[in-house]
Amino acid sequence: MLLVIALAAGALLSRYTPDVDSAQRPFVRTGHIGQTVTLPEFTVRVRSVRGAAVVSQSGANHDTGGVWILVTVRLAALHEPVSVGYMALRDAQGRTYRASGRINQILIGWRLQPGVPVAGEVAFEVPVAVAGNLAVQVAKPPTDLRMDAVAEVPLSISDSQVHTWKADSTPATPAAPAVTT
Amino acid sequence: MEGRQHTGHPGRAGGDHVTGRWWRRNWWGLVALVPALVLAFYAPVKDLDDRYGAGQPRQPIDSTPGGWVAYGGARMRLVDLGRDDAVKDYNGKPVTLVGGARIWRATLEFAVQDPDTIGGCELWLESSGGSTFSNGPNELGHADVIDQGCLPDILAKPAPGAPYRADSYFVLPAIARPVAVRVTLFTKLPRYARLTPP
Repeated sequence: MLLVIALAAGALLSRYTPDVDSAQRPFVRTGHIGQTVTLPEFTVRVRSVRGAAVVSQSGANHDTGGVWILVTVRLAALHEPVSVGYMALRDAQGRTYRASGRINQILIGWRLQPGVPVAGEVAFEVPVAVAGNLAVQVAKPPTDLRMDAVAEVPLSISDSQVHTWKADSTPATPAAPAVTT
Repeated sequence: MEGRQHTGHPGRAGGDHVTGRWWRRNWWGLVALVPALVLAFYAPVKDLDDRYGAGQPRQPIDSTPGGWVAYGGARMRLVDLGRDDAVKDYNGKPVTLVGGARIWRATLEFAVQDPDTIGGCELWLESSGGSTFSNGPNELGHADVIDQGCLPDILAKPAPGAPYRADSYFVLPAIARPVAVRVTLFTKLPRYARLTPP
Protein backbone atom coordinates (compact mmCIF):
# COMPACT_ATOMS: atom_id res chain seq x y z
CA MET A 1 0.00 0.00 0.00
CA LEU A 2 2.78 2.40 0.99
CA LEU A 3 4.58 1.57 -2.22
CA VAL A 4 1.52 2.42 -4.30
CA ILE A 5 1.08 5.73 -2.47
CA ALA A 6 4.77 6.59 -2.95
CA LEU A 7 4.60 5.78 -6.66
CA ALA A 8 1.42 7.81 -7.08
CA ALA A 9 2.95 10.78 -5.26
CA GLY A 10 6.06 10.54 -7.43
CA ALA A 11 3.97 10.42 -10.60
CA LEU A 12 2.01 13.49 -9.52
CA LEU A 13 5.17 15.40 -8.67
CA SER A 14 6.75 14.43 -11.96
CA ARG A 15 3.65 15.47 -13.88
CA TYR A 16 3.06 18.83 -12.28
CA THR A 17 6.59 20.12 -11.67
CA PRO A 18 8.12 22.24 -14.47
CA ASP A 19 10.39 20.56 -17.00
CA VAL A 20 13.98 21.74 -17.43
CA ASP A 21 13.17 24.16 -20.25
CA SER A 22 10.43 25.75 -18.23
CA ALA A 23 12.29 25.81 -14.92
CA GLN A 24 15.36 27.41 -16.45
CA ARG A 25 13.59 29.87 -18.71
CA PRO A 26 14.81 33.48 -18.72
CA PHE A 27 13.28 36.09 -16.46
CA VAL A 28 11.58 38.35 -18.99
CA ARG A 29 10.78 41.94 -18.10
CA THR A 30 8.55 43.67 -20.59
CA GLY A 31 8.01 47.30 -21.46
CA HIS A 32 6.89 49.43 -24.33
CA ILE A 33 8.57 51.86 -26.68
CA GLY A 34 9.83 54.85 -24.73
CA GLN A 35 9.73 53.06 -21.37
CA THR A 36 12.86 52.15 -19.42
CA VAL A 37 13.13 48.46 -18.59
CA THR A 38 15.49 47.80 -15.69
CA LEU A 39 17.51 44.60 -15.58
CA PRO A 40 19.89 43.74 -12.70
CA GLU A 41 22.96 45.25 -14.38
CA PHE A 42 21.66 47.75 -16.92
CA THR A 43 18.60 49.51 -18.28
CA VAL A 44 17.08 49.30 -21.74
CA ARG A 45 14.88 51.81 -23.51
CA VAL A 46 13.66 51.29 -27.05
CA ARG A 47 13.33 54.71 -28.58
CA SER A 48 12.06 54.07 -32.07
CA VAL A 49 11.88 51.62 -34.95
CA ARG A 50 12.14 52.04 -38.68
CA GLY A 51 12.61 49.77 -41.66
CA ALA A 52 14.31 49.61 -45.01
CA ALA A 53 14.83 47.42 -48.05
CA VAL A 54 18.54 48.27 -48.16
CA VAL A 55 21.01 48.98 -45.38
CA SER A 56 24.23 50.86 -46.00
CA GLN A 57 27.36 50.75 -43.91
CA SER A 58 30.92 51.76 -44.69
CA GLY A 59 29.97 52.48 -48.29
CA ALA A 60 28.50 49.04 -48.95
CA ASN A 61 24.80 48.42 -49.61
CA HIS A 62 23.09 45.31 -48.25
CA ASP A 63 19.73 44.32 -49.73
CA THR A 64 17.50 41.60 -48.38
CA GLY A 65 14.87 39.08 -49.45
CA GLY A 66 12.88 40.18 -46.40
CA VAL A 67 12.99 43.57 -44.76
CA TRP A 68 15.48 45.32 -42.53
CA ILE A 69 14.22 46.42 -39.12
CA LEU A 70 16.33 49.09 -37.42
CA VAL A 71 15.69 49.59 -33.72
CA THR A 72 17.11 52.54 -31.78
CA VAL A 73 18.05 51.33 -28.32
CA ARG A 74 19.33 53.29 -25.34
CA LEU A 75 21.42 51.31 -22.85
CA ALA A 76 22.84 52.36 -19.48
CA ALA A 77 24.93 50.38 -17.01
CA LEU A 78 23.91 50.67 -13.38
CA HIS A 79 26.92 50.09 -11.10
CA GLU A 80 29.82 48.63 -13.07
CA PRO A 81 30.86 48.28 -16.70
CA VAL A 82 28.79 45.78 -18.63
CA SER A 83 28.42 44.68 -22.23
CA VAL A 84 25.15 43.70 -23.84
CA GLY A 85 25.73 40.56 -25.86
CA TYR A 86 22.27 39.58 -27.07
CA MET A 87 19.75 41.42 -29.20
CA ALA A 88 17.07 39.65 -31.18
CA LEU A 89 13.59 40.03 -32.55
CA ARG A 90 10.95 37.50 -31.54
CA ASP A 91 7.97 36.92 -33.82
CA ALA A 92 4.45 35.77 -32.93
CA GLN A 93 5.44 32.12 -33.30
CA GLY A 94 8.32 32.48 -30.86
CA ARG A 95 11.00 32.35 -33.54
CA THR A 96 13.95 34.62 -32.92
CA TYR A 97 16.02 36.63 -35.38
CA ARG A 98 19.39 37.69 -34.04
CA ALA A 99 20.90 41.05 -34.92
CA SER A 100 22.32 40.71 -38.41
CA GLY A 101 25.88 39.55 -38.78
CA ARG A 102 26.05 41.06 -42.25
CA ILE A 103 26.98 44.46 -40.88
CA ASN A 104 29.05 45.65 -37.96
CA GLN A 105 26.75 45.94 -34.94
CA ILE A 106 28.84 48.17 -32.74
CA LEU A 107 26.32 48.56 -29.92
CA ILE A 108 26.41 44.82 -29.22
CA GLY A 109 29.49 44.28 -27.09
CA TRP A 110 29.92 47.98 -26.35
CA ARG A 111 31.25 48.26 -22.81
CA LEU A 112 28.77 50.52 -21.04
CA GLN A 113 30.03 52.70 -18.20
CA PRO A 114 27.72 53.30 -15.21
CA GLY A 115 25.60 56.43 -15.58
CA VAL A 116 26.82 57.08 -19.12
CA PRO A 117 23.93 56.02 -21.38
CA VAL A 118 24.64 55.11 -24.98
CA ALA A 119 22.14 54.93 -27.83
CA GLY A 120 22.47 53.45 -31.28
CA GLU A 121 20.66 51.51 -33.95
CA VAL A 122 20.68 47.74 -34.26
CA ALA A 123 19.68 46.13 -37.56
CA PHE A 124 17.71 42.90 -37.97
CA GLU A 125 16.74 41.05 -41.13
CA VAL A 126 13.33 39.36 -41.01
CA PRO A 127 10.79 37.91 -43.45
CA VAL A 128 8.17 40.41 -44.55
CA ALA A 129 5.39 38.11 -43.31
CA VAL A 130 6.47 38.35 -39.65
CA ALA A 131 7.52 42.00 -39.52
CA GLY A 132 4.13 43.19 -38.28
CA ASN A 133 4.33 41.30 -35.00
CA LEU A 134 7.75 41.57 -33.42
CA ALA A 135 9.28 42.24 -30.04
CA VAL A 136 12.91 43.13 -29.44
CA GLN A 137 14.79 41.18 -26.78
CA VAL A 138 17.92 42.46 -25.02
CA ALA A 139 20.12 40.52 -22.59
CA LYS A 140 23.66 40.43 -21.29
CA PRO A 141 24.82 36.91 -22.28
CA PRO A 142 25.60 36.51 -25.97
CA THR A 143 24.05 33.04 -26.21
CA ASP A 144 22.87 31.14 -23.16
CA LEU A 145 19.89 32.99 -21.71
CA ARG A 146 18.87 30.30 -19.21
CA MET A 147 17.76 31.87 -15.91
CA ASP A 148 19.07 35.23 -17.02
CA ALA A 149 17.25 38.54 -17.24
CA VAL A 150 15.83 39.55 -20.62
CA ALA A 151 14.18 42.83 -21.54
CA GLU A 152 11.42 42.47 -24.09
CA VAL A 153 9.71 45.36 -25.84
CA PRO A 154 7.00 44.85 -28.48
CA LEU A 155 7.48 46.92 -31.62
CA SER A 156 4.44 48.62 -33.05
CA ILE A 157 4.81 48.00 -36.76
CA SER A 158 1.83 47.99 -39.11
CA ASP A 159 1.62 45.93 -42.28
CA SER A 160 1.40 49.09 -44.35
CA GLN A 161 4.66 50.35 -42.81
CA VAL A 162 6.36 47.07 -43.69
CA HIS A 163 5.26 47.30 -47.31
CA THR A 164 6.32 50.94 -47.51
CA TRP A 165 9.76 50.08 -46.17
CA LYS A 166 10.07 47.10 -48.49
CA ALA A 167 9.22 49.24 -51.53
CA ASP A 168 11.69 52.01 -50.65
CA SER A 169 15.13 51.24 -52.07
CA THR A 170 16.79 54.26 -50.43
CA PRO A 171 19.61 52.82 -48.30
CA ALA A 172 19.26 53.33 -44.56
CA THR A 173 22.44 53.82 -42.54
CA PRO A 174 22.25 52.49 -38.96
CA ALA A 175 23.05 55.21 -36.42
CA ALA A 176 26.34 54.50 -34.68
CA PRO A 177 26.35 54.31 -30.88
CA ALA A 178 26.89 57.61 -29.11
CA VAL A 179 26.67 58.92 -25.58
CA THR A 180 23.20 60.26 -24.95
CA THR A 181 21.05 61.70 -22.20
CA MET B 1 22.03 4.51 18.56
CA GLU B 2 21.30 2.57 21.71
CA GLY B 3 18.09 1.83 23.56
CA ARG B 4 16.14 0.32 20.74
CA GLN B 5 14.05 -2.46 22.25
CA HIS B 6 13.10 -5.47 20.22
CA THR B 7 9.76 -6.75 21.33
CA GLY B 8 9.23 -9.07 18.41
CA HIS B 9 11.51 -11.29 16.42
CA PRO B 10 15.04 -9.87 16.27
CA GLY B 11 15.53 -8.03 12.98
CA ARG B 12 11.84 -7.59 12.27
CA ALA B 13 11.16 -3.94 11.62
CA GLY B 14 7.54 -4.21 12.62
CA GLY B 15 8.53 -5.31 16.10
CA ASP B 16 10.64 -2.23 16.94
CA HIS B 17 9.56 0.71 18.99
CA VAL B 18 11.32 3.55 20.75
CA THR B 19 11.19 3.68 24.55
CA GLY B 20 11.75 6.54 27.00
CA ARG B 21 15.05 4.90 27.79
CA TRP B 22 16.07 5.33 24.16
CA TRP B 23 15.45 9.08 24.35
CA ARG B 24 17.41 9.39 27.60
CA ARG B 25 20.40 7.53 26.24
CA ASN B 26 20.48 9.27 22.82
CA TRP B 27 19.47 12.84 23.55
CA TRP B 28 23.04 14.02 22.94
CA GLY B 29 22.97 12.54 19.47
CA LEU B 30 19.78 14.40 18.62
CA VAL B 31 21.23 17.65 19.95
CA ALA B 32 24.42 17.11 17.93
CA LEU B 33 22.31 16.49 14.85
CA VAL B 34 21.25 20.14 14.72
CA PRO B 35 24.75 21.67 14.23
CA ALA B 36 25.65 18.73 11.98
CA LEU B 37 22.76 19.56 9.66
CA VAL B 38 23.65 23.27 9.77
CA LEU B 39 27.24 22.46 8.79
CA ALA B 40 26.09 20.07 6.08
CA PHE B 41 24.10 22.83 4.39
CA TYR B 42 26.57 25.63 5.18
CA ALA B 43 29.65 23.92 3.75
CA PRO B 44 28.51 23.68 0.10
CA VAL B 45 27.10 27.21 0.13
CA LYS B 46 30.37 28.54 1.61
CA ASP B 47 32.36 26.56 -0.93
CA LEU B 48 30.32 28.02 -3.80
CA ASP B 49 30.78 31.53 -2.45
CA ASP B 50 34.53 30.97 -2.05
CA ARG B 51 34.85 29.71 -5.62
CA TYR B 52 32.95 32.71 -6.96
CA GLY B 53 34.79 35.13 -4.70
CA ALA B 54 38.18 33.82 -5.78
CA GLY B 55 37.58 35.37 -9.20
CA GLN B 56 36.34 38.69 -7.86
CA PRO B 57 38.39 41.63 -6.56
CA ARG B 58 37.46 41.35 -2.90
CA GLN B 59 40.71 41.85 -0.99
CA PRO B 60 42.16 45.33 -1.51
CA ILE B 61 45.78 46.15 -0.84
CA ASP B 62 45.28 49.77 0.11
CA SER B 63 47.86 52.45 -0.48
CA THR B 64 48.38 55.56 1.54
CA PRO B 65 47.47 58.68 -0.53
CA GLY B 66 49.93 58.61 -3.44
CA GLY B 67 51.88 55.82 -1.76
CA TRP B 68 53.48 52.72 -3.22
CA VAL B 69 51.86 49.29 -3.12
CA ALA B 70 53.42 45.91 -3.93
CA TYR B 71 51.15 43.75 -6.08
CA GLY B 72 51.73 41.06 -8.69
CA GLY B 73 55.52 41.27 -8.45
CA ALA B 74 55.48 45.02 -9.15
CA ARG B 75 55.35 48.23 -7.16
CA MET B 76 52.82 50.82 -8.18
CA ARG B 77 51.31 54.10 -7.10
CA LEU B 78 48.81 56.70 -8.28
CA VAL B 79 50.65 59.87 -9.22
CA ASP B 80 47.77 61.97 -10.50
CA LEU B 81 44.02 61.72 -10.97
CA GLY B 82 42.06 64.50 -12.57
CA ARG B 83 39.67 65.61 -15.27
CA ASP B 84 41.08 65.99 -18.75
CA ASP B 85 39.07 68.48 -20.80
CA ALA B 86 41.76 68.80 -23.47
CA VAL B 87 41.24 65.45 -25.18
CA LYS B 88 40.88 65.81 -28.95
CA ASP B 89 39.82 63.46 -31.70
CA TYR B 90 41.99 62.49 -34.67
CA ASN B 91 40.82 65.60 -36.51
CA GLY B 92 42.03 67.84 -33.71
CA LYS B 93 38.55 68.69 -32.50
CA PRO B 94 37.79 68.61 -28.75
CA VAL B 95 35.99 65.48 -27.66
CA THR B 96 32.71 66.37 -26.00
CA LEU B 97 30.27 63.91 -24.52
CA VAL B 98 26.53 64.48 -24.37
CA GLY B 99 24.80 64.66 -21.01
CA GLY B 100 27.74 66.09 -19.10
CA ALA B 101 29.87 62.95 -19.06
CA ARG B 102 33.51 63.78 -18.28
CA ILE B 103 36.88 62.37 -19.23
CA TRP B 104 39.24 61.55 -16.38
CA ARG B 105 42.93 60.69 -16.65
CA ALA B 106 44.85 58.62 -14.13
CA THR B 107 48.65 58.63 -14.16
CA LEU B 108 50.20 55.62 -12.46
CA GLU B 109 53.84 54.89 -11.74
CA PHE B 110 55.17 51.35 -11.87
CA ALA B 111 58.46 49.72 -10.93
CA VAL B 112 58.85 46.14 -12.16
CA GLN B 113 61.63 43.96 -13.55
CA ASP B 114 59.63 43.02 -16.65
CA PRO B 115 56.59 45.19 -17.52
CA ASP B 116 55.11 42.37 -19.59
CA THR B 117 54.35 40.46 -16.37
CA ILE B 118 51.71 43.07 -15.51
CA GLY B 119 50.74 43.87 -19.10
CA GLY B 120 47.45 42.01 -18.69
CA CYS B 121 46.29 44.17 -15.82
CA GLU B 122 42.90 45.84 -15.73
CA LEU B 123 42.30 49.30 -14.31
CA TRP B 124 39.10 50.44 -12.66
CA LEU B 125 38.22 53.88 -11.42
CA GLU B 126 36.22 53.72 -8.21
CA SER B 127 33.75 56.50 -7.44
CA SER B 128 32.59 57.72 -4.06
CA GLY B 129 29.26 56.00 -4.67
CA GLY B 130 30.94 52.62 -5.09
CA SER B 131 30.51 52.35 -8.86
CA THR B 132 33.47 51.27 -10.99
CA PHE B 133 34.52 52.40 -14.47
CA SER B 134 36.88 50.63 -16.84
CA ASN B 135 39.81 52.23 -18.62
CA GLY B 136 39.95 52.61 -22.39
CA PRO B 137 36.17 53.06 -22.74
CA ASN B 138 34.43 52.69 -26.11
CA GLU B 139 33.28 56.29 -25.77
CA LEU B 140 36.89 57.38 -26.46
CA GLY B 141 37.33 55.15 -29.48
CA HIS B 142 37.78 58.19 -31.72
CA ALA B 143 39.91 60.17 -29.23
CA ASP B 144 43.56 60.82 -29.95
CA VAL B 145 44.83 59.35 -26.71
CA ILE B 146 46.83 56.27 -25.82
CA ASP B 147 45.56 54.25 -22.89
CA GLN B 148 48.71 52.58 -21.58
CA GLY B 149 47.17 50.48 -18.81
CA CYS B 150 50.15 49.17 -16.84
CA LEU B 151 52.72 49.33 -19.64
CA PRO B 152 55.38 51.95 -20.41
CA ASP B 153 55.24 54.10 -23.54
CA ILE B 154 55.64 51.85 -26.56
CA LEU B 155 58.87 53.64 -27.55
CA ALA B 156 60.30 53.71 -24.02
CA LYS B 157 62.61 50.99 -22.73
CA PRO B 158 62.82 51.47 -18.98
CA ALA B 159 65.69 49.63 -17.28
CA PRO B 160 64.55 46.60 -15.24
CA GLY B 161 63.10 47.87 -11.99
CA ALA B 162 63.26 51.53 -13.04
CA PRO B 163 60.04 53.49 -12.47
CA TYR B 164 57.92 54.49 -15.46
CA ARG B 165 54.61 56.29 -15.77
CA ALA B 166 51.47 55.28 -17.65
CA ASP B 167 48.28 57.21 -18.45
CA SER B 168 44.80 55.73 -18.56
CA TYR B 169 41.50 57.33 -19.45
CA PHE B 170 37.99 56.91 -18.09
CA VAL B 171 34.54 58.32 -18.82
CA LEU B 172 32.33 59.18 -15.85
CA PRO B 173 28.98 60.90 -15.45
CA ALA B 174 29.21 64.51 -14.30
CA ILE B 175 28.08 63.74 -10.77
CA ALA B 176 30.60 60.94 -10.15
CA ARG B 177 33.55 61.70 -7.87
CA PRO B 178 36.45 59.26 -8.29
CA VAL B 179 38.25 58.26 -5.12
CA ALA B 180 40.67 55.49 -6.13
CA VAL B 181 42.11 53.42 -8.95
CA ARG B 182 41.96 49.65 -8.69
CA VAL B 183 44.57 47.50 -10.43
CA THR B 184 43.62 43.86 -10.93
CA LEU B 185 45.59 40.94 -12.30
CA PHE B 186 43.50 37.89 -13.12
CA THR B 187 46.05 35.53 -11.60
CA LYS B 188 46.20 37.48 -8.35
CA LEU B 189 42.48 37.76 -7.64
CA PRO B 190 40.78 38.13 -5.21
CA ARG B 191 43.58 40.51 -4.16
CA TYR B 192 43.89 43.81 -5.96
CA ALA B 193 45.79 47.07 -5.52
CA ARG B 194 43.67 50.03 -4.46
CA LEU B 195 45.56 53.23 -5.14
CA THR B 196 44.41 56.56 -3.76
CA PRO B 197 45.52 59.92 -5.17
CA PRO B 198 48.11 62.09 -3.40
